[in-house]
Amino acid sequence: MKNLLIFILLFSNSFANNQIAVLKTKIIKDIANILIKKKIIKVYVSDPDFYDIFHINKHIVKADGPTQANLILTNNSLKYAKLKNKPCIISTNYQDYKNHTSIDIGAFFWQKGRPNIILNEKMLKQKHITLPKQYDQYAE
Amino acid sequence: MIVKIFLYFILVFVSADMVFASDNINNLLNEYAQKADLSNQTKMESAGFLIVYTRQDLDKMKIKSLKEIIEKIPFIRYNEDNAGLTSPFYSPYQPAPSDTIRVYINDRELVTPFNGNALKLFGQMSMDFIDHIEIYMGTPSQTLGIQPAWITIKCYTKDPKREETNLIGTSAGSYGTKDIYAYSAKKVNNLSYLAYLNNRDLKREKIYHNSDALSKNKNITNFYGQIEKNGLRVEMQASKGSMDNFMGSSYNIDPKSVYTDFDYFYTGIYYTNSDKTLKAYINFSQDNTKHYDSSKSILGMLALSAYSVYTYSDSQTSMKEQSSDAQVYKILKTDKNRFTFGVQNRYKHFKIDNMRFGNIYIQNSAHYNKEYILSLFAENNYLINKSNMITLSAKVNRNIENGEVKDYKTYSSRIGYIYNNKNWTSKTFIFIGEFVPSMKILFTNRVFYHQSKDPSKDKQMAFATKLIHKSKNNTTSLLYGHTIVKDQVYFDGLGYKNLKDNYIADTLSFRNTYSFNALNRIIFNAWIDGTYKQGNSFENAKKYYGGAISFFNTIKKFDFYNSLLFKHWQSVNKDGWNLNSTVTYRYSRNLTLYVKGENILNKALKSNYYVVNPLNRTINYLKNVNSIDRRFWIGLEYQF
Repeated sequence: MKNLLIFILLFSNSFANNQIAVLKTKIIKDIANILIKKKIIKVYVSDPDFYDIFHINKHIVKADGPTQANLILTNNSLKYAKLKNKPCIISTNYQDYKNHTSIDIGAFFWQKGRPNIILNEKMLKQKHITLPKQYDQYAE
Repeated sequence: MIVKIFLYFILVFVSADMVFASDNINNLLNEYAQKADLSNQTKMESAGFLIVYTRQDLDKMKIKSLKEIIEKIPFIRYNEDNAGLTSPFYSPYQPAPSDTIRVYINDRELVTPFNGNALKLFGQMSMDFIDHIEIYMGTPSQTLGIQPAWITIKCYTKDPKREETNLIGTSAGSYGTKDIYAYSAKKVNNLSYLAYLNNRDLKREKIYHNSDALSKNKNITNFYGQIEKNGLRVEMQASKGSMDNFMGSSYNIDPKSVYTDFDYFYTGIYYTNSDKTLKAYINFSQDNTKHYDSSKSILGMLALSAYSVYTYSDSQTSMKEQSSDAQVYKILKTDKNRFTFGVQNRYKHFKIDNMRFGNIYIQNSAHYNKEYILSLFAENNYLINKSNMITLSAKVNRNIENGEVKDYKTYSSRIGYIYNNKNWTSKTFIFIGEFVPSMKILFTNRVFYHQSKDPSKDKQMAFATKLIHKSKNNTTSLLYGHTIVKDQVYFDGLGYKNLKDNYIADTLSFRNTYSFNALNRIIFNAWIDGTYKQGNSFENAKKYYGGAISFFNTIKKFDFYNSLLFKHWQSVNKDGWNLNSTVTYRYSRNLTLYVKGENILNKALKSNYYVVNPLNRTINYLKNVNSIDRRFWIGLEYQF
């Protein structure tokens, strides 16, 4: 696969896109492992930029709907605020997160050309989740 | 001393990489940022030999203007002309070739019709709205723009979807320089926008000739905006400024007042379909310039007849320039083949409202002020098997010039072969092409030097090959190029002519990039360029060589960029050593502070100037001038 890199770059961006999806999935899995104490995490995605995270890691599976999910990735948090199954909601848009800090447990978004993570200290306390040390810098 | 400083850098940063090896999530985020860099969506590997400055690189470097990027390109140097404007190939009295560097912002080439490329206008302008930069060197692909160039710099603007911010930044620099900028970039539903505004009061080092202070100060306000929805993008740029023009044209290098006031406006509409196989655009730009030049003694002279000359001590030129580009570009793809073809045209027009030398007004006697270029191009990339690819491209341009100037027709074509296996890649290209003199050459040749014959197009043939070895953390490459230039345009004191002799340029470049991780890497490159008359050998060549070592590092909340460039230039007595450093402290996600030093050692390659005074047959020299000032910046950025 590796030796095809340059040609795939010439003809399409699919190989690069796949690498990006793998990294995105790794980051989401790392965060999910802290928030959700389950081996298999059911994720519901409503932001098209994250549709590609499935079928990469066997521990991240696609939820049939928001009511089946342990984790929701969305840029419209309000829509999923009153779900009875109370999934962890991670916003993919900073403004959406800022507006809904009582709903979102975290955010994973692009800002100023960099990918960012925020973990909502208040919500983490409510859910009695302690962050590993390496995540301290992301708690706000 | 220089070596000691760099050994210190190597020690500090290499050991820091080992001590502060980043934790897992931080590494993942940075690796994600690197892999998802927008350059991975825009770069064209088959278009030439590529150097990329990613968003992360530019953030660490805190690039202030395009001149910093130009200085880093192998085989060339950053230089300024007698007006203190960006002109990398400046040589007194010789025409600045318009086919060497062309600069693009997204799909738009920065064009000023009279000079050809617009580096003089944009070379020292702010860059804060640029996301990443791609530099394509040598054997120009026919898909890169209407008029070919040996070095194509493609600057891509920040992507609103990746920015999602309102930001204000300010900085202060040596000699009283002040810079303030703000931008807002967001995506709202399907619509995204970027709006950027900057004012830079750039104070340059004063140069003294006798007791006269020569100024290169510039004050420029620059707006850039774009709105995008469903593949349709509207761009707009407006700039206004005043630039002190350094020596001006005075025979005795004693300018009294020499400056250019300008305003520039650009707008364009760009369409790309969803699978990026169809692109079309149309754009328009206009600039107005008013240039005033006066000197304490004589500024210049005009020949009124064979026996009498008129001398003057001031001159003024007001010019309006307009250009418009349009292109339609289609890609047909199959599993093994990609065929690209298109049609494009460029319209260039200038109008001199006022050209006064002392009390004499000069008319455009050649009635020449328009150039229309129609261009057809096609490129085919064919994948023979998983390791071998060939690329073929061709372009035909028809330049229609008005007035008495003759029309030109140019052809260019390129054949390339790319080989790739697990660790090795090679790219080999052969290019044959023709280049048309700029409108400035064609105009001044007729109007100022009263020549009835226009210079011919110059012809170039090039062979270039690059071998790349890649391993997990290391990429090493070796590039060799051999170019033959025929009919090169030069100034002989009476007008522009074509050289009778063919000239050869041989170039060799080595580059190594070692990445410790996604956050830390070292780049080393070394190169040599020799130019000589065909028939002579490389030993007799005018030789230029240089090298650079650059460190990109992140330690905790600090970003570091350090680079040392070395250049040996045939026409400059002392070799240049240019040390640049930037330290950025990310205090919080919203606040960033930085300090930056350019040409810290004050040993960057100097520039030499001379002016011939034909009245008393003397030559006035101005030597060892800094084109890159020793400058320190302190700045901050706040997003809200």
